[in-house]
Amino acid sequence: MPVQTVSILDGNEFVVSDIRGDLEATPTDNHGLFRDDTRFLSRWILTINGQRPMLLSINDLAYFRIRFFLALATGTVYVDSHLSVQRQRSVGRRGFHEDIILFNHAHERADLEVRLEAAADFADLFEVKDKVEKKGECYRGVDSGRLVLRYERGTYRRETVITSSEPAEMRDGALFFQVRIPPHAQWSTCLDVAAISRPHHGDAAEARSRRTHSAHASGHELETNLQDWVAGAPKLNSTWAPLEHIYRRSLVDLAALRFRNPAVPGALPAAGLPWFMAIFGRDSLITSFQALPFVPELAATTLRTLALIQGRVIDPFREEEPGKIAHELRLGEMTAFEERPHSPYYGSADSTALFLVLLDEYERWTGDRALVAGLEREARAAIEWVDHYGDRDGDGFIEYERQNTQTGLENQCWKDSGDSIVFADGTLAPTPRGTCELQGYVYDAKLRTARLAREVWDDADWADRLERQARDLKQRFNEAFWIPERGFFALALDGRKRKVDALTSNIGHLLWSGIANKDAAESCARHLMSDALFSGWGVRTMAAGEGSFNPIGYHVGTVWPHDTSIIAWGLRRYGYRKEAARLAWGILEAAELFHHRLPEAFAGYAREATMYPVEYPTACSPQAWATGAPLLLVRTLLGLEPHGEHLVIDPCLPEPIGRLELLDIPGRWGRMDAFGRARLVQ
Amino acid sequence: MPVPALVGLTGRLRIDIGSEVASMIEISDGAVAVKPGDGEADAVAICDSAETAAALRRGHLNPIVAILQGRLSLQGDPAFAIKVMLGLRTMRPDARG
Repeated sequence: MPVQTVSILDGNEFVVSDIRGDLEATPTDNHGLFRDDTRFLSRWILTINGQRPMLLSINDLAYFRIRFFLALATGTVYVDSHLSVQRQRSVGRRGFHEDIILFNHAHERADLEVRLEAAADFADLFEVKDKVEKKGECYRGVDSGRLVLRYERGTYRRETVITSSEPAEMRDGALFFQVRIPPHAQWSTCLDVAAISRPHHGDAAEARSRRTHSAHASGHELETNLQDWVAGAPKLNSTWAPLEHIYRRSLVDLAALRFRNPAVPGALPAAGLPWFMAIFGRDSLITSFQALPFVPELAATTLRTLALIQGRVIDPFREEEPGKIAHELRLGEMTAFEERPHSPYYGSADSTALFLVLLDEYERWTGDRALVAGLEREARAAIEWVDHYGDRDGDGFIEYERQNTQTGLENQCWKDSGDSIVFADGTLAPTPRGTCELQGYVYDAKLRTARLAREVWDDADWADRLERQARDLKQRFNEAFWIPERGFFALALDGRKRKVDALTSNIGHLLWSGIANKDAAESCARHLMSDALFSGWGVRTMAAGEGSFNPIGYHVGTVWPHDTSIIAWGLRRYGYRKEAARLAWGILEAAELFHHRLPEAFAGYAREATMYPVEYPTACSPQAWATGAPLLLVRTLLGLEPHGEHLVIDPCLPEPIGRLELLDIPGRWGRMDAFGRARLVQ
Repeated sequence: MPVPALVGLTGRLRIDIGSEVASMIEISDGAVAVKPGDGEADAVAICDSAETAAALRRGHLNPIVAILQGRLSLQGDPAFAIKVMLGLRTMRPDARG
């Protein structure tokens, strides 16, 4: 996120503005009030006597609330102004609320014209960066003292309603206030901007919102809700104080990223701000996994929501297949008119297996058999997808090739940029592609589903079959993907079943899932900790020295915190506890330097060269699985693993952390405390 | 004959066209019966037109698209309604390719 913008959010509603609090959307400045993947306000500019106030300071009060302190410039070097402005804005409940307060610090009365320019382009998020000609009609008008901005395209209607507590003249695309402020006095107005997705539709909730909307009131609810959220999570104490800040930041950011939908109670984590405030199967699943020991309720909603929209038919446009778990659901105009396939879109090859992984992990932690019992059909359908659709050619491995060649994703693994699956010499691997971590996820999913089949669904025969399939897969995988001359697993098998021989972080996921044979894992661990992959801050997505390596290449050299967190857990799984601790320490140190909030990705420069982690220019922040990375790393450092009704605690801490305690860890054991002390010498 | 995608599901989805009751879809552990008349239902699908209602009954409707377009709104248990409507899509002859 460029430093010139600030944002506040609550789930899939967010406001991006410049540092003065103005919204002035352009193809390069993506300001706006966004909700349901639609920009409901694209212009919101405050002027006083024709002048835009200058910024003095911003108070970042909470993720849903912000305060701007401004003053009118006088044309000199000094801020010698007698008029100051405060804008306090909070988001929530279908829009935002803004209080504007003008302070007259002079001995004389101030007569002012306050103008608030307002406009809405109703752009779909897919349109925001490109100025696309809208196919519907825009309207603006005044209705009972409210400024109404409307977009209509057939039955599709979106509306923005702006109200002010002080009377305003509404003309020429703006609200005008003629203000007279006595000496040393103030004037204020409260503005509500309501983003309405279904006006005039007999939707009772929307109608009530139009009449009584107040994001101001919802701000208090959010404050209370946030306090409850943080209070309900385990308490972390450490002699390395930054970890406490990092942990709290993760909890607060996860709260901000909670996404609610009317069909399933609770919230799941949206993928990231600003462009991914939506249900993303892979991201929601991994983030929920990371957060299980801390806020397990996210996993429950994630599982139920993804189960609800699980694929049922074959639809090449949306790449839907029976049993497949969704990749992404969007709610904007382009999805509504099927110009984009996101209703939902199913173009990911890993979400289905990850769904099963989370389902099992959730039950292991929480003992919530009712939820798992209720999702037996979905789990069986997911396994069916793996066997009959995921394995496209019957070779026993999952591979992908997009069916929607117009708007679908070419790469349907987590490294979904077009140039991520390449050979060591940089040559692009032809499709269909079967990336290595997909096979690991399937192996893990089958073993975990076998456990559930045996212990929850009372189907021992199916459990036996799944375990045999998993063992068989492991054997074939270790033969087919291993590159003996390089000592690591291939990134993928390409369309001609050749081993794609680039060294990448994907091999770490194989340790997480357990598919790697022990000796192969040892060799992979050495590679993961080598200078080629481990930058000193985290594991690069691709090793330095590979043909396509680029330290600022999205998936071919940057460091993704979630990736390293999964790899650390994988190393630990195979007994490489010190190595896991070293990786965790690198990422946590980076987090401290990123003001306690890890970005989606950062550059893969060597630590010796930079002395600090270098930002990656287009990263999301906050981003869900980056937010979850510190949580999984804390779990890794403390060695937390449910075992029956008990929580196993097996800490291995890097020396700088000293002492770490995590109190009131929720699970099937009730609440449990975990302690660890560093015994390493760095 | 039960619809496999609806096995395990039991309940009633009423279909209205505007303010008029059009029909009732009764699901009984996957068996689907479309009946006239109103009554208590677990959810109500309010369609903007007879065409939308017909598409829903025949399984030709993506409910998410229809809701986004403003052709459909839901009352009652939305999860039940969505399960029914997505399950009905599997009854199409081309559902499995």
